[in-house]
Amino acid sequence: MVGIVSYGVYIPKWRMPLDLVAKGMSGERPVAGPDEDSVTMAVAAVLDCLKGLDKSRIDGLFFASTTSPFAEKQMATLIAKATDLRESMMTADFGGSLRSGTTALNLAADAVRSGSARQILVVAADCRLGTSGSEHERNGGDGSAAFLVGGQNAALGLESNTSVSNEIFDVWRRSKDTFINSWENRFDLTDGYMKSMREAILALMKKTGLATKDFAKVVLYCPDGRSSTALAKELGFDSKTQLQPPLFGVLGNTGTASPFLLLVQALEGVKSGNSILLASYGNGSDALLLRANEGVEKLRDRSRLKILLHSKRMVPDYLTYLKWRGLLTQKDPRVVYTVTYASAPAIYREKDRILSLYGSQCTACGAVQYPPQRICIKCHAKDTFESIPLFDKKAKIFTSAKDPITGELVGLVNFEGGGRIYCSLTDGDLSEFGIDAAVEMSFRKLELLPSDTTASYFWKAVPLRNGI
Amino acid sequence: MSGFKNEVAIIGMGCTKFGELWDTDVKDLIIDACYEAFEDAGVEPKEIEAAWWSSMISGELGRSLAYPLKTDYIPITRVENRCAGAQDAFVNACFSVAAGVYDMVLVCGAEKLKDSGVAAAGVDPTTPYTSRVDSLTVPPTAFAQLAQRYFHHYRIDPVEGKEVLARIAVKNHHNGALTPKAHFHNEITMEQALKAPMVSPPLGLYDCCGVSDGGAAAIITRSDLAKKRRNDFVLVKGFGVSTGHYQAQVRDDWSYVHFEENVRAAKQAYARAGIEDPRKEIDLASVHDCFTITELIICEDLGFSARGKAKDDVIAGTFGLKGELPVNTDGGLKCFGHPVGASGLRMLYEVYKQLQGKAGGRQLENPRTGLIHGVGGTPMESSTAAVIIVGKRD
Repeated sequence: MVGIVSYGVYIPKWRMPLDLVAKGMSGERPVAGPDEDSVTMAVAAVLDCLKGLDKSRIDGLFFASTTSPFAEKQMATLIAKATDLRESMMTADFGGSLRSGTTALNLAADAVRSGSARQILVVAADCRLGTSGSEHERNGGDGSAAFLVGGQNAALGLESNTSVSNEIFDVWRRSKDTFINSWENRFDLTDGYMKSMREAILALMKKTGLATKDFAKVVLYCPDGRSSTALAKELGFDSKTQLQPPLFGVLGNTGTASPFLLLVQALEGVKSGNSILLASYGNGSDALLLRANEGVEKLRDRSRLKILLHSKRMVPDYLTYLKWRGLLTQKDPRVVYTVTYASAPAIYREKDRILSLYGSQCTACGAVQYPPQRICIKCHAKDTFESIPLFDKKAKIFTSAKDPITGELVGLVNFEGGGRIYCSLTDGDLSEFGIDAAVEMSFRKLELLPSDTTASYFWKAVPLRNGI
Repeated sequence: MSGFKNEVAIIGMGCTKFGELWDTDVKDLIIDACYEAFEDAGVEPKEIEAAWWSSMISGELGRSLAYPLKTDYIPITRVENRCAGAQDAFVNACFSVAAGVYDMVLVCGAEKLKDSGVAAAGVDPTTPYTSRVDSLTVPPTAFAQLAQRYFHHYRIDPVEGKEVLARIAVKNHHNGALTPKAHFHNEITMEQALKAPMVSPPLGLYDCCGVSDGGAAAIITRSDLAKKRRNDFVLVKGFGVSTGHYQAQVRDDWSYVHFEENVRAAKQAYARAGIEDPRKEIDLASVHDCFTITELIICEDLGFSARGKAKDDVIAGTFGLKGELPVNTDGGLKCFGHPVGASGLRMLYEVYKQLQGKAGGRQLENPRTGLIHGVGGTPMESSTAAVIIVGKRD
């Protein structure tokens, strides 16, 4: 049966206490760090999804997000390159609606069913902005999740699905807007969320012949912390035993990634043979019937969600959050290049070493070198190199320092198995990057200068987020 | 090792006041430094047959020197090797004299760092078009990591290490206070140095050199022609230049506790000058103390102290004005200031004046041989190091 073979998740390390935006409010929401966006979070989820897997059967990558950093420029290509997937595959961006993740999932399943692809990666990520003090800002959350859809060994079968569309202005953001907009809540819920979700779910139950009691878990996208409970009750589900709680105050509404992340969370306690209902919303609704198969426990146990939710740091204040999102105008402390800017051809010809973090290994003496060299720095052999990916290597800090002007941390990082990189260090204080501290590489967005018109992404070292 | 020992003579030098010279243009720095040198040498500007110009960001072409001086269509070569640019320009100018191509050559370095609008050493506007993904090396971070590794490597307690660095700052501030043309003239205490605001841990404010405007110039000729100009000319005894190749980043076994470039440049210079025991044979040294940790390590790289033991010499006062081997008698980069492309010639100016007995309140007792050292770049990206040894005529 076609279904989900593997999955990966990513939640940024940073949390904003909700008290910072609504005095006295308990709980928190994940926020992307200053060097994170939907693309970097998607890369992290895909890497988690592919850990320990053979990548050769993957024939496509779909990226779903309403917050792609580019209006014109595909990002699935960048995610595929950063996760070291081959170029001979189908890539596509899905956007415009928070249900674009489940839509991509359905289309991936259709492609596998039809035989046009063996496996397709579907990754959803969002980093949405609500205006200061708004419910969108309080309820939001940044994160990502990736599903690998395949035809064999699918621990979560994608058994059936239905969709409804709904042309409505309930929640929207124009291309030129920074913040999410919405109409009056009661209109949005009545004629938007409740109506479409109800129609899609009832259609799915009718199509599959399943009754409410037949579902072990019900996973409903939830815009606000209340409405999924109301919807579940209305449809006759037991909101206590069947409904996956929407995790407000912990995870928040992670937008396009939300149905995926809630599904991963709902796998807790699912047994082989269980039916799971998954429904997303955004100008209509997709409802999916998933069937837990043999291996679901194994699939569930690879979840890093608990670790990622536990491993966190608080954003110190609201100004810091605004600064990270580019919403605060401050004097740029950096020295501006008066003549040059990041060069597209330079990035293009070096994309293996930049985006896939390939080093070179000398076949004459074995020395691993980064960036890739043509003359070996140890034995001076010329052009005797093989590429070696370094992004997934364990690593340790050799040196570290704090830039007094920008506050950025930099250091030399030694890879297990050889090789060294001089790079930025992120998601931690200088004290967490002492000599011999264990780190791993994380794909991040670089802050460019005003003279730059592209976007640059590169790898930085981060402290490990293991252990609870 | 072949060189041009005693073949090239310095017959005149000039150096401007260093500092935040808001009312001085780079053209003024060039004119003031060069005309002091012309006067010192007793040379007319029109006698100059060729010139070498050193600057990081204050003038890219040879014309930057020609324009203020109105030189008569002579060849002018621009040299850029960051903080070793002036030493490199000087060495290349010496080549032309030693080769017998020119008899009278001017070397000038000048820099306006303070016009950049940032409280740092500015940036080269000719930075090439690249991907821009690689982390930039801001000097304090590169040298902070050097201190971090040095303390770790030699098992020096960070508190003790910080105190050693503070002693270097106190020494250089003491010397700077005796140097009228220096940027800073304030003596500091150990407590001030230790409690100064942190720049990049463990380096605090007084561990970092000044960012300054300034210019310096030298006039060189063949030593057989020098006698006609003055009796107390100074002879070039030896030189060494070495350039690294990003070893600290690309080699995964690089220990990051020394500058191999310094070691190689010194080795060449000592061989050419016939120096076997630098600690005994060199009477004073002007070295590249961009940060206190740099001076500490340079003293090992140049063979003044054993590896890991420079701290003992610092504590013993070996490098003080009254010590066995005075280092940075004019306050060094720390206090004289560091207008990048001019610094090498400023160092030479101090050694030249010391050898002539004209160093005022900081004059050493009859020094005969002096060393000038510069290292451009950072230990993170690798450097060009230059060592020049000069001495009194026999």
